[in-house]
Amino acid sequence: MNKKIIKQLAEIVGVQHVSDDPIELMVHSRDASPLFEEFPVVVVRPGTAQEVSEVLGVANKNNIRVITKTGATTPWGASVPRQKGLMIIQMGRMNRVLDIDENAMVVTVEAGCTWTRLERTINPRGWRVGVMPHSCGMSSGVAGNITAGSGTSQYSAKFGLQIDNIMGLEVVLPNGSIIKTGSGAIDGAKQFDKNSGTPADITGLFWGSAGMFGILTQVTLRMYAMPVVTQYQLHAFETPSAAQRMIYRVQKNDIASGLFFFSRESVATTGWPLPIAHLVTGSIEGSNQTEVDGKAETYRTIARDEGGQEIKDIGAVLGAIYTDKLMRYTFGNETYFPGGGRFCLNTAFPIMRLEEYLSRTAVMGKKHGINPFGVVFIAKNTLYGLQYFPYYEREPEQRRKALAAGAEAMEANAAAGMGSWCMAGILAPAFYSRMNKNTFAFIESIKKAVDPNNIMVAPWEN
Amino acid sequence: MTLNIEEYKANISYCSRCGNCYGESALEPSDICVLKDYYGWESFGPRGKLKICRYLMDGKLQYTDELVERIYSDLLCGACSSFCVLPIPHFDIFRAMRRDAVEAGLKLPDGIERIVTALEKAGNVFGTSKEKRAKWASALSLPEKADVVYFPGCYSSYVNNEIAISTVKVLRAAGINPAILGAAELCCGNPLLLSGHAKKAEEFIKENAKKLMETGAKTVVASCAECFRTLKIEYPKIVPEFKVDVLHVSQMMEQLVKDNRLHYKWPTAEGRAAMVTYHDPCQLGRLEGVGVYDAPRKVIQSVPGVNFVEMPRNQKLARCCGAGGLVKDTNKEMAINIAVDILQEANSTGAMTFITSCPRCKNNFKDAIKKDPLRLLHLNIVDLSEFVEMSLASS
Repeated sequence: MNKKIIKQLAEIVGVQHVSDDPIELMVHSRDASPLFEEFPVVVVRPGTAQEVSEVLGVANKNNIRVITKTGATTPWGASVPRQKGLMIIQMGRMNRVLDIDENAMVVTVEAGCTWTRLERTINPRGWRVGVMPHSCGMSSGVAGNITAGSGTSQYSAKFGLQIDNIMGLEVVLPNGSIIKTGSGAIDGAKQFDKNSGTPADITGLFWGSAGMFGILTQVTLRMYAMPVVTQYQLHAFETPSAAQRMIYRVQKNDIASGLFFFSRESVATTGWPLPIAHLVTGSIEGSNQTEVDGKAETYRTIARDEGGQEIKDIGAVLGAIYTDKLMRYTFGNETYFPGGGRFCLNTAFPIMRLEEYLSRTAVMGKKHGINPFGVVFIAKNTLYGLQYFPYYEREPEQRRKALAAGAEAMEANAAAGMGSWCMAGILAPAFYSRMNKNTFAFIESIKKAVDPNNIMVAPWEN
Repeated sequence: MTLNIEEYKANISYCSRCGNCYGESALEPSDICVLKDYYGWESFGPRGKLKICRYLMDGKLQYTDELVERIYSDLLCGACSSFCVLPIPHFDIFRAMRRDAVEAGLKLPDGIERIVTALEKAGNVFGTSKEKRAKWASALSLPEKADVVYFPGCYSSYVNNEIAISTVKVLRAAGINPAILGAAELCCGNPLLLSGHAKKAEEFIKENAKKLMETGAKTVVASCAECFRTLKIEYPKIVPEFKVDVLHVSQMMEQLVKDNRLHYKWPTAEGRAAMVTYHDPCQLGRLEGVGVYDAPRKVIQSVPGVNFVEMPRNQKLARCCGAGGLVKDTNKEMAINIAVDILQEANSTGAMTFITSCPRCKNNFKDAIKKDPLRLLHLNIVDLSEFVEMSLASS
């Protein structure tokens, strides 16, 4: 990289926060997937929104293309360079919890604050965020999770996705201007609500945008009181159709705060310490024991009606899922497959299509000779399937098969009318190519409007 | 040249860069990897260094002087392995990187060179004459042979004599009159292992093992966590016939308490605050094969009147004092800053007495107090042996 540009960047953020050291560039070439390995040309670590703005000014002036990175924990290559000549803006320095507003039930953090730091700060005060860190990687940054469009968790049944819990953002647009979304868009107003302050849901624009519309510098999230009583349930089903009926009824009756599903094949493939069956786990929360016992009884009745076998001795099993390392790497950092690469295909579909989704997965796996595995999160009325296509990094043929199976599964799911989310990374170009042309043109026109010099890399580029 | 890190090739390839190694966990009070916050750069952290290892093994990167700061910035505290869910022995791998650095002839940090020169010259990390090694024991008339041999190590022999003297007094109060190697004792070899000079370390280890076995001792007791771990874990690897039982003094004291062989005075020593907390040295607790967490706590709590309080991050989640991995010798500022953080955490517990069981930790904490005396000067920093000795009826 041109030394004059390095100097300009150093003048903005401080010389110790800019690096074009080849070793540093090398370690920034990957996230928690081995899908890409392109080196950036420079890594910059700004400490404020103003510094981000000025860094983007340098990028605009010198036609340097930019991606942002926080924890770099996606297993689908969302936060690493996919082309040459890129600047990485690394948000790790901006990692503070800025404001806990208990009256407004919101918390504001800087972009690079990890979910762990956030939870650890608010939990002792009796608060939590609805979508827990387990779903997005303990080391992942809050903003990265949002721009990646991630954010399902074992508590999504009640709290929905991350997008449902964002109350406002501070964003540096590609042209360097700093904006606020939500109620904070009114000068002098605090961030407490995303539905006021602007005529449209501008917050939603940045969700899953892979950073193409701007760089998030602050995020305000809704907080919820910690539950007083929690009870866990585990049921085994002979068929996915029985499980999907049970899930549908539980959600229709608004009983569980957390629900997720493992297919028989996933349990077998991963070696999780669970009975080999189609499994549904649920967590039921409340403010007192009577309330939770009542909900749990209804939950068990529904499960029984649908043929579910209650697994009563679940202390060890659910302990492993919720509190042990299994949770951390299966649902936290998604690194279960030791020594392997994997990439994750994220598919969204209505609850009653679970069986169809699983059968398509099985067909793809068989066709390509691999064993995809995963978990299905239940978020209100929708199922979010995380499907892993595993391969060993050092075996190119396995990698080719996994990618082929994943791409074909995505095509097939889309053809069947299923949605995708977290669309940055390896499958993003295919995803955008299937999008309605007018919708895509609209997104492209927004990108052009906010980023006339096209410095931010769009997810559909590879 | 075959790289030492190749021994861990499979383990290194397990790393999927999830970042757990930074100690982020919603489930426990964590955030214990200091490298992330201090350097901020990925290549200094465990995840980045494993990536560097991959490139080195694949021949895409060579050991050059540009890597030295990264390799020697590591505290080698094993915190990363506490959070990693895969079988990746970070401590061993990062120590192997240091061996590679030495074998590649890289320009090592001045602090490392200084220690190695001192060890070559005088057999201790300070380069002080060998004859002075047992000066601390001159008034104690310790035997040369006994069932129990006390191994004070370099720090307690030269700098922290109070620890060595207290240890002997505690043992004697329980009826044990330990032998010492005296001026014949050499550094345990750990600083050489940590510096990457494995072959030189072997010479020290073989020599000490021979002398210890010649005493006919059944038990070797160490008051230094680093010496303890080295004697217990590293010595048998290099000298298989070294089968002496190795105990940390906290373990021996735990047994003495259990056998009712330590008698405390009551009330407790004047001026000593009853609120007490404890810092776990990495080489006594977290690193593989040791795990001594309960013994020091049981000993502390055996002292009458003690109100023991844990720091928020303790046992396997305890932060390194900052001096680990020879970092005090390569980056003193970082080492002391880390210690200041830990003492501030200790402050939050309300404790007035701060106990540790490693002289290297103790010294670093003492230095940290100098950096922030207004907030930390009230903390009484003592070694476990000192604390127990002060409380003995016969003291």
